Amino acid sequence: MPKNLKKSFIFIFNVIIFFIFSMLPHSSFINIKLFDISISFIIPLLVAFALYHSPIAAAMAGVLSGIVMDSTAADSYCFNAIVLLIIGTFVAVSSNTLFNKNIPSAAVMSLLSALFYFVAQWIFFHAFHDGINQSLTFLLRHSLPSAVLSAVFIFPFYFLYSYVKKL
Amino acid sequence: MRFFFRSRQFKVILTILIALIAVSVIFSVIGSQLSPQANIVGTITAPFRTAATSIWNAFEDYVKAFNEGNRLMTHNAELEAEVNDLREQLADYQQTATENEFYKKYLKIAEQNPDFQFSPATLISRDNDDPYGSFVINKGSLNGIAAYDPVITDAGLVGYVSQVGLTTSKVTTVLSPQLSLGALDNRTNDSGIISGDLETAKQNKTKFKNLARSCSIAIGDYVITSGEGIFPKGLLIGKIDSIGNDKYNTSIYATVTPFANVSEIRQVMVITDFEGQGNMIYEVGE
Repeated sequence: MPKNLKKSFIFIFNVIIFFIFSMLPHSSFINIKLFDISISFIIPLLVAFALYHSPIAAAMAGVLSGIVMDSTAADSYCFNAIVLLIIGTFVAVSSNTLFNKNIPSAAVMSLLSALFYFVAQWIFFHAFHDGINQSLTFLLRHSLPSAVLSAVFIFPFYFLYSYVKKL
Repeated sequence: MRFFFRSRQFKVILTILIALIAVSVIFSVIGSQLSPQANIVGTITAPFRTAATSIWNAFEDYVKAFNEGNRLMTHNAELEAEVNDLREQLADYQQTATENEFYKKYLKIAEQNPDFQFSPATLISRDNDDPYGSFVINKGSLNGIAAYDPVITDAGLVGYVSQVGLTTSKVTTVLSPQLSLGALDNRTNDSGIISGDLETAKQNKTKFKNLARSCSIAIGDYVITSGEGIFPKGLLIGKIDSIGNDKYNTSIYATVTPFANVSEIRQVMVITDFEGQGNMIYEVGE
């Protein structure tokens, strides 16, 4: 495959996959939940993407998918865009300095990123709003399990991006 | 790491981050408008979301139609082609009948309240992470929708338009603590405030708060809007399920099950205009 064609193909592939996974959690009827625990596919996807791309590319992927999510999320003016920008940048930078690009590192970064996202979401949308005491149950029964469950999905995305990288 | 913080990439990312935080702060202060980037992306992606929802609805309708027609199809294999044709016609008919039924129900409300101006809207996405059931509808400022417009179904009040984009709007439901609306017990005229919380929202219920201890509300009473605030008077909200004492003051509260089932809504009506609406929004703004 010519190099330019390959680049275009990978770019379109990335646009489609990020678009689908940033729309999926907010689609009206496809409600992906397990025992009231929601799964965020965009975080492991972004982590896998950031492992193999520059910080600026990872940050842009985070911002754009965050904006798509913000356009339908409840009362989150730029929450998703900001948090996903930070996650993308953190993973891309730390995969070159603090961590490696192997599976254990990807799993750790995915878990840290998911924890950061869900805890930040809890702080801004529940703890500030309803008070810590009232919303602590939400943190323990929804946010933390959601972070752990979402982080697990790093594995398929990691293998997907390591395959794409080899193309 | 140190090199990264000195790099041009870091400066670009930091600029974007600061811009996003600034936009976030500005628009959270304004409150009723989608941020510009979310508005643009929301407008661009609205057709995709509408298409995805339509496909999903069509799939559900097809599965239902298939299950109903399965017995006939087994016994009438030779008429399969004809059955398929009839099924398509049936699906069209069901859709038309559902739409007619939908508009007929609102006709009664419109007759009772001639000052109401309605705009029908379809739910195109739901924030599954929001425990208060907020959702997005396929109408925005281009269709005459404005912030704080009440949203209803034929069963009763659903909530209000909290943020308006060009072609989409976000609806905050009666389950949310962000909504605080004056309400009356329809039987006794006791007044209080409807506002949800996390615990009641989990059960698809809301709270009727700040009721005087001497009030005579009872389980089974209907709760309606009092006409104070952004909602017109007399909209049905729900039915009282239980009554309890407020932990923090001497008032009592009641748990209310809204007549409109927030989690199963597909179509709604937005009341874009009613008598005194402008004044009420002005009062809220003040």
